Order: sequence, then structure tokens, then C-alpha cells
Amino acid sequence: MGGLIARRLAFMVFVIWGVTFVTFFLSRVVPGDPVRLLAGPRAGKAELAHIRDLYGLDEPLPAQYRRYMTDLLHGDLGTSFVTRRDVTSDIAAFLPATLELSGYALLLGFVGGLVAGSVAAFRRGSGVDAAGRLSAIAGLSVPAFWLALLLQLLFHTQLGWFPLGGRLDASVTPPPHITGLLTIDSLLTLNLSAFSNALWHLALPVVTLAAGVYGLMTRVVRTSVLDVLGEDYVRAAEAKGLTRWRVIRRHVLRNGLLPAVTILGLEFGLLASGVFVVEAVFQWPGLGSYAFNAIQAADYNATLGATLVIAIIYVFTNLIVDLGYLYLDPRIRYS
Amino acid sequence: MIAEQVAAEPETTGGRRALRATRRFLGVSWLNVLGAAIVVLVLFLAVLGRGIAPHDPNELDLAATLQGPAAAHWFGTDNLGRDLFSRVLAGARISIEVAVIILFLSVAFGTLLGIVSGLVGGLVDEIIMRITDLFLAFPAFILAAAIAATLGPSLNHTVLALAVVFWPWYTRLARGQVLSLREREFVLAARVAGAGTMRIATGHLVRNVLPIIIVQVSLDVGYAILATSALSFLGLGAQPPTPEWGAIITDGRSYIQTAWWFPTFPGLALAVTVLGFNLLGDGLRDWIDPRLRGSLGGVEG
Amino acid sequence: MNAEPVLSVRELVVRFATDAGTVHAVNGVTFDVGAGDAIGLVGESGSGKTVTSLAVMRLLPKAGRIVSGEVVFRGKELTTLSEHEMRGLRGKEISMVLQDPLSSLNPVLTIGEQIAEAIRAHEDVGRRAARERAAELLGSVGIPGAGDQLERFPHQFSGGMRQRVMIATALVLHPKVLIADEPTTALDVTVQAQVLELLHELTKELGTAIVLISHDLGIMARMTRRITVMYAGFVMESAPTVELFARPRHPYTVGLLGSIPRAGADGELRPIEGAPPDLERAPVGCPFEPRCARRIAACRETMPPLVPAADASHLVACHNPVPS
Repeated sequence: MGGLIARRLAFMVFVIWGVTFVTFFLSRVVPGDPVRLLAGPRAGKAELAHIRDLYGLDEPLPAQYRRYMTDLLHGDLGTSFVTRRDVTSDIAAFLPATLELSGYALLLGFVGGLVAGSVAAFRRGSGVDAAGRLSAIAGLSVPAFWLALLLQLLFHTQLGWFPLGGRLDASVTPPPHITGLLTIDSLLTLNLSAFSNALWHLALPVVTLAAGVYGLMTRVVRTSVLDVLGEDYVRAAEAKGLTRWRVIRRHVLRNGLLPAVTILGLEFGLLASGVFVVEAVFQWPGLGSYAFNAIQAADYNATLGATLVIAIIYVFTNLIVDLGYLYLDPRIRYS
Repeated sequence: MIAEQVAAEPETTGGRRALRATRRFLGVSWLNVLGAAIVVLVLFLAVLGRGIAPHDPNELDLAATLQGPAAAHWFGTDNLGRDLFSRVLAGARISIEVAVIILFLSVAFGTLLGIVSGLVGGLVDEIIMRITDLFLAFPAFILAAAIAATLGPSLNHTVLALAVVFWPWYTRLARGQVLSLREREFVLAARVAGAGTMRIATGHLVRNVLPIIIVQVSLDVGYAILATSALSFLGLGAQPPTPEWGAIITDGRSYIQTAWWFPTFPGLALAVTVLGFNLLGDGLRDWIDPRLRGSLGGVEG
Repeated sequence: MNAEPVLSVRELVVRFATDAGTVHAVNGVTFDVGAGDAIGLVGESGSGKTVTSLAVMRLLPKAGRIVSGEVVFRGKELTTLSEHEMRGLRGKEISMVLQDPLSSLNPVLTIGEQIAEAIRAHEDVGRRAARERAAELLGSVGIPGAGDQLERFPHQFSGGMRQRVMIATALVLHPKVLIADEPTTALDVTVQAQVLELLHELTKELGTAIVLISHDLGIMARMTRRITVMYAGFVMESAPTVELFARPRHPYTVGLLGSIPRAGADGELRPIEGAPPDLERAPVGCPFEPRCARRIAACRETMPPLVPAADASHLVACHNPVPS
């Protein structure tokens, strides 16, 4: 167990190094002149040379790599070409909105998929099962950016039930910054009108983002619950005279959910890609919008900085998931 | 005459067996029928769409901009008066072509590397596996977006970026299959018979790895189409006036309040296509995975 | 045999609906178990032994259905009992030990939790009291240091220990009937004997009747007083154990006895030739007919009824039984 954790941590260090290496590689070695991109098409020769000097791009590659890593270790991701501010502080400002959005989406998709997947498995081969499978595959198939537009069209333009985008109405005073998550900050300060307004704004983007998570989760839970239902220990539990609900709760769900935990990492990957397009459509001031705008403006440091941060969060999530799995499965815990 | 008949026989039984397998697969669930029907329809439209399309997909008609769906324009027209139905049909061809290229690149490269990794083993295996770990450590879409953004916006770069994020999955898959097959009797027998590593790889392994790869490909076609469109939507992929579905939706986004059909129809085509491939892939996987097939429910005796 | 059987199965018929069609798993099985008695169901795999026991417990997989017949436990008809009442009997009055002790224990719950849940399913006792009972019980099945063992997980036990746990769990509420389905097949030969001994002692001590399911006639000879031989879901022969071994009347039983390796004999294992029939066709005639050396014309036409052979306690279903 201890050795296993040590190996996982060592692997994580390797992966994070690899992630930084890939971003460095992308920024310096890949064809296409980053300086030209930075300076824009109308820049003169002197301006290009100035930028080269400013970013150390005239140095040999190993020296550039050393400088890049040194900056990184100090948490310096460079300066955004568009906002003219530190990419690090930009990301810190945009991250909470993304965390709030994806947190609720993960919760909704996870719970929804859990229920749908188990019900489909218990009613295997029935119409309910087919509906569960179809909805799961639909959730995985629907393009998030299109679903976002459709929800806007229906619930904003046609029905007027939900706002078009943003985190709060302009008329609502935002709660003081504690965690950066509006729903939590407003609750902590007992600002109920801000709380409900924040939830109201969250609804459509959360549903859009949750669709993929729901699809993946339903599929995995259905398969693993079906596997567990065929296990002898489920029959043994029934033979003990446990109520059906107790058998389901203690034996079927508990064991069937272990694989669902392992795919949390995958779901985070889905969320990370969904966040890009969903935030773009709902004008959600998060990391996805930031990266989207950076891409549109060919803002180099900002694009790669955001990529790096998302990748590192992803690596950490996977580590936590792995350790959580070690804890949940005694077969690994005690070996 | 007799020789001809004998030669023809395996052909017909092979074909008949394929037909029977297809019928059994479709009989398992109506979801399989739905998936197969959508895929066949999309492939048909991708190949023959140009003949069916009532207009040239890039033909401008500034006298008829933003027309709603009607007999003249089934899906309406866009802000430049182009026929959206024709553009959606042309988009089907683009999406299928793009998916085929992405998957061909990543399957060819990934599978080859996986088979080599599994057969050679040792340090080579270790290095290849650490590299795939590295690629899999990124959220795929984010990495593809970063690569596409670095290379500069274009459909070709998007294809390349997606191939770069897809191959490690195939390496993993192929290597796992090779490792489990390597110890099986027929491969051992081939070794004993003196067959070289390459002969084993091409002869036995490819034939055994192939079915699993095919299932994975059928699942990934949908994802490749979806990711391409999403990258185009973000402005990283196909550029105007290319009638790629994601790019059309980007154009139509600003008109959603006034011309709902503009982003809706290309999105619907995209969603249904991806749904079809995913249904087919999911059904195939369920069907091939013997654990999930109907039985007495594990009762023996 | 006692006058009043504690469990009585009459003409039980079970069918499965599968993708490929109807499977005739059990076709009119009849047997009785007296209070404190030990009987055996014997047959090859696929003969319907396990399905019969699951039908008695009303734990058939979804595709399976009791089509007709009776299962009477202490005068109560079980096939028509409500699920709620049936649940009250499972584990308390009739319990079950399954073949593979590893797969019948949930890998993520401790041994203690799994024994305690059997107690708490039927008795309104607290967590602590249930734990104490569980610890006591582990001691009684010969697991040392029982208190500490409760916190351990199934994979930390050996196969024999796991099966002891399963037996302990099955007997914790002093049931009237224990159905043991191949309880030692998954164990090492040396451990088999110990587990069987334990099973024998405990059931005797508690007065629990035992229905032992096995394909192993050696185990049957040691453990049971009466044996019912099954083939393709039919009862072929039923007789007191000693009588069956001494004077088998059904050709299938003779074949089975011929295929147990016996020390001192020629040492050759003589399996019955051919394979058990496809259960997907509706049964017409005797299912053993294709493999039978003594088949006659009638065997193809009708399934012979189960009738007394020599005396009332020895029943056989054969048109042309082996002369005694």
C-alpha cells in the first residue's frame, strides 16, 4: 500500500514534468513563429527583435527551457498579450467561476447517471433499460455548444425563464469574495437574493455541461451493476433474508459504484473540454472563456498557461481518484 | 468446373455468415437498428450528397438571406443567402472524411506501436508506455485545442491535433491484447515452428487484435466528429466558407434570436450523426463482450 | 425417515426464458427431507440440482420461473408465499451455503459485517450484540482469535476458513433446513474433509436437516442417509444411501457409480459415454435414452414414472431397470 502510493506520487511528478515539457515544446519548437503571432501582422522588424529579446526567444533552446522552468517553479506563466497582466493572476481570477460551474455539473451528472444507470441495470432488457441507454448515449453525443444554443433559444428567447448568460444580473450586488464561488459566498453572508440569482444563472450552463457526465456515468454504472447482480455474494445476501433494498444498498450499489469512482478522472476530462465551449456560449467568466479568448486573440502565454493549469488539475484529480479507490477497495488496501 | 465451385464455396458461406451475424446483431435491440440505420444514412449522404443537394453549398443569394425553412430551402438560408440544406449535406462529407483520416492516422500509428511494444517488451515497451501515459495525462480535447492553436487555425491542423491525442488509446489497447495473446498456445506454437516476430505480428496477432480495434473505432468515430466540430466552433478548425457543421454553427450563433434554423439544423445533423455512431459502437461492444450477453444469469448445475 | 418431513418438494417444474428459447431446467422433481435428516441431490452439472435449490429458496434468476409443483416447508406452501413472508424464512428457517466461498462473500465488507447482517435481518438486535454473536460463532466453527477476525476482509482468509465463515453464517439462526450446494468443490482435498466434518457436527448438534448437492458420490456416501439422483431436470432414482450403493437400479446411477475412482479396483475412470442432452428441446421420452446401454423402444416414447422398485423406499424411473 505505502509503496503503491509512493509509486503513484513519483509518477505524478513525472507526468507534471511531462506536461510542462509538452507545453514548452508547443510554444518554442513547433513550426510557426510565436513572435509573429505575438506581435501581430503589422509589426516591423525592430518590434519583432524587441519582443524576441523581451521573451528571451533569441537564446538557444536549452537556455530558454531553463528559464521557462525557473519561471514556472516561481508560478510565473508569463504576461498575457491581451490583458497585459500576469497570466497566473488572470487564471486565479477566472478559476473560481469554472470550479463552481463544473462542480455543480459534476454533481448533477454523477447523481443523475447513478440513478439512471442502476435503474436501467435492475430492469435490464425492458423499455426503461432502453430509454436509459439511449439517454446516456444521447448525453455523450450531443454537441455541448449546440445544446447550449438550443437551451438559450428555448428557455431564454422563447420562454424567458432563464438568463442568457453571465454569473449574476448587473442589478445584483455580488457577495464579498470569500471562496470565489458565488453560491457559497452568498450563503455565507446570508445574501439570499444573490444566492438565488446565482443559481438561476447556473441552471442552463450546468445542465449543458452535465449531459456528457450523465452519459458516461449512466453507461459505466449500468455495466458494473449488471456485473455485480450476477455475483454469488448478492445471491448469498438474498439467501440470508435481507430485504431487497438492503441487498441493493449494501451489496449491489456499494460494489457497483467502485468503477464509477475510477471514471471520475475521465469525467473531469469531459468537463474540461465542455467548459471551453459552454463558457464561451454563456459568457461565463471562467477559465474556459479566458482560454477561448486567448485562442481567438492568438494570446500565446495565456493559451498555454491555461492548458498547463487545466492539465495539472486533471493530473491531481486523477491522483485523488486513484488514492480514493485504494481506500475504498480493501483488496488493494490490505495487500 | 468443380474446382471453381470449391473455390467459390468459402466465399458464399463467409458472406452468409456475415449476413447472419448482422441479422443477429440487429435483433438484439432496436437501439442497434437505430444506430446502424443512422450510420448507413449518413454514409450514403456523405458519398452521394453532392448529387442530392439542390444548390451549390457556397452559392450566395443576397436577395434571399435568412429565409426560414420552406419548400425552396428545406433548412432555410444563412446570412449570405446560402442554402443550409446543401451546406449541411456538404458538411456530412467533410465530417466523415475528417473522421476517417483522424482514425486512420491514429489507428495505424497507435496499433503498430502497441503491437511492437507488446511483442518486443523490455525497455522499448517501458519507453512507449511512459510516452502514452504522458499523452493520456492531458484532457484530450484541451491538448488538441492547444496543439491546433499553436499550429494556427485550419481544418488540417485540427485533424493532425486530434490524431496526436487519439493514438495513445490504440497503443494501449493493442498492447494489452498482444500481451494476453502472446502466451496463448497458437502464438507459442508459431514460435516453436520457427516463425519470426514479424510473421507472428502480421499473421496471428493482427487478426486477433482487429475485432477489438474495430469496436473502439466505431466508438471513436463519433468522438472524432464531435471534437472536430467543437474545435471549428472555437475557431480553431475549418474556416469560412467551408461548410463544416461546427463552423456553420459558429456563424449562426449570432442569429439565434432571429433565425433559429441557422444554427439548429447543422447542430441537429451533427448530434444525430454522432448519436448513430455511438449507438452502433456501444451495441457492438455489448454484443462482442461475452460477459454482458444473455445467459441463465450465471446459474449452473 | 420421520413421518412428517420438514421440507417436501413435489413435482417441481422450473423453466427459463432465454434469447434462444425455453430451457427446461427442472421437470417434476420430488423429494422429502425429514427433521434433522441428511439427504443428497446428485447429478452431473446441468442436471438441475442448483436450480432446484434456488427454486426452493425462491431465488431463481429473473428469467427462471416455477411453472408448477409444490414446495412445502413445515406445512406451509412456499411457491405461493408473498415475497415478504418468504424473506422472513430465508436465512432463518431455510439457509444456504453456496459453492465458491470466495465469490459468495462480498469483497468490500468485513467478515463481521457479513455475519452480523444475517442476524440483524431477522432479529431486532443492536450492532454490538450482533457482533458478539458473530464472534462467538466464529469460535464455534474453529476460527481462532475470533474477535479480531471480524474486522478482516474475505481475501485475507484461506478458502477453508471462508467456507467455515459461510457455514457459520448459514447456521447462526439455527435454521430447520440447510441447503449446501457443492460446499467443498472449490476447496483443497485435505480441507474438504475438515469442512464436511464441521458441517456434519453442527447440523447434528442443532438438529438442522441438510440437503447436500454434489456430483461427488464419495461425499454423498459419508454425509447422507438418502440420495436422489437427477438427470436433465428429472429424478432418475431415489433410495437410502446404503441401498443405492448396494443395488442401483437405474442405468444412469450404475454409470455414475462406475465413474467414481475406487482404490483397489482397476483404477480406470469410466465416464458415461456421450453428453447430457440439450435442455432447450421439450422433454419427450427419457432424456438418458441416447446414452443408455439398456434402452428399449418405450424409452423414446414416454418418460417412465418414478415408482417403487423393490420396496417402498427405493424409487426408480426406468422402463428397463437393472435387475437387482
